[in-house]
Amino acid sequence: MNSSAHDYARLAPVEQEALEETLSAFALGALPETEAEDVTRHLSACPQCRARARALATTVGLLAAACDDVEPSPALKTRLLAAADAERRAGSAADGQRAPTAWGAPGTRGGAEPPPPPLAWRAPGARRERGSRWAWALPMAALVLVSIGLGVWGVQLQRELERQGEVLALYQDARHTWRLAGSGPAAEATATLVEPVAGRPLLVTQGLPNLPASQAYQVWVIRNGQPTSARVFPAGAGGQLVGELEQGLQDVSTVAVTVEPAGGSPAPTSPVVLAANL
Amino acid sequence: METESASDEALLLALPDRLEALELLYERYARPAMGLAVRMVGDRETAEEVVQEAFLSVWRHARRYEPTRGSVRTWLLGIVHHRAIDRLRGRPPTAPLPEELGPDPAAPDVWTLAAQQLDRAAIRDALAHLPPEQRQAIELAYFSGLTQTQIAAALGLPLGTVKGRLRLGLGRLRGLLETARVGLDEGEP
Repeated sequence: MNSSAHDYARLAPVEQEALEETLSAFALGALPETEAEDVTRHLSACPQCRARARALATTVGLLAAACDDVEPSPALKTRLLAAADAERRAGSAADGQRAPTAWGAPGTRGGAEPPPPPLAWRAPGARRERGSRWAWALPMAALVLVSIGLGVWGVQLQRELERQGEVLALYQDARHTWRLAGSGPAAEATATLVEPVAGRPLLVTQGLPNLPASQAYQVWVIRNGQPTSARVFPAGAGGQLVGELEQGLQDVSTVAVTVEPAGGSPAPTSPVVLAANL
Repeated sequence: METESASDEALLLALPDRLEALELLYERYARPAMGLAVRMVGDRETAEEVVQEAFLSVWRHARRYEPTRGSVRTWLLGIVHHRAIDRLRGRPPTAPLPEELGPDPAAPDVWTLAAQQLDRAAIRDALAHLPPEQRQAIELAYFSGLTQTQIAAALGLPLGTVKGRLRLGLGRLRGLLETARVGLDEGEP
């Protein structure tokens, strides 16, 4: 399906039929992903097909109403509201923070003029405040984030669910948490870094754009201005990622996430998409 | 906001600032949402995850709702459907919602308005009156999340046959539902 608009009055019946078949399958979600993307592009350029697609979508939408109601467990409402509440708190508190968005000192930045890197990058050893302002939101927020994040990767679902009990126990008693703010292509994303009393720090992201299979999100910890890799997420993964960092936060001034080639890089090669000063 | 009596649209507008608006939408639509999710993914536990993901999407993207495309209920159940398809196809639940198709008409069309009048019994009745092979193809696509190629493979049919059944089935379904609507109007005093 190309990008130019159809003139239905000039289509042969067999062409109209083929078009209707494609739009019917599209409305039912029965097209393979690449074909569906083609149709979506075409629809933005073709008002007549768009009107057809809308009418078909209305018919398809009615199918949902054919099912019997099912009573959810009372716990579902609690989980939903807690998750929404945690997101809301996270969103409003993150607004006041300015996140580092570029590597290096002023002067080495590119033409995009991101905000200057935070002081802590050039003055390592910035004092870490005990009991950050996020502490009050724990352990509920961490629990909620962990339970949302777990099970994100389809094939790992079962294993992750089995781990859930251990992970929850580990992070219930968090010592610190920090909020990472998104920037650039991930401006909508956020993340929470949890430092447990014992064990490794846990990073939980939300809303990271999905990457092509050739790329992965990599986590860096910065000590004395030197970034070292702390975690490489699976290639192509995005959205809600949950992962332990491979090292502790001793002397760390900043935690940052970048997009790197799948498998990770020895040193960051692209602008920061998520970061927080500790 | 008069919460209890607020319209669905008013509740959506109150998101994401007002948690009680989400709670009311949940009270109104959690049961049909669970019904659809259970039908699609098969077990209650996964269905609850799907429903939670769907309501969180509603919470985040309430502003994307377009009244001219249908009711809040239909929009919300469409999101549940999308999230359940994510599960069935092994995609993360954060896959983007269906893209905007382009500018909407200024007002809903007749069919959109008519569709909002239809109740569950009318929809079931229409489905039951579809030729069985058309109903089967539509159900495999919509409820089982199969692509037309997968349906063809599952049924041992040529792809062209499946495409034809989906097209004819949807066309017939709409015809039956429009008749049902007419019958509904005539049946009223």
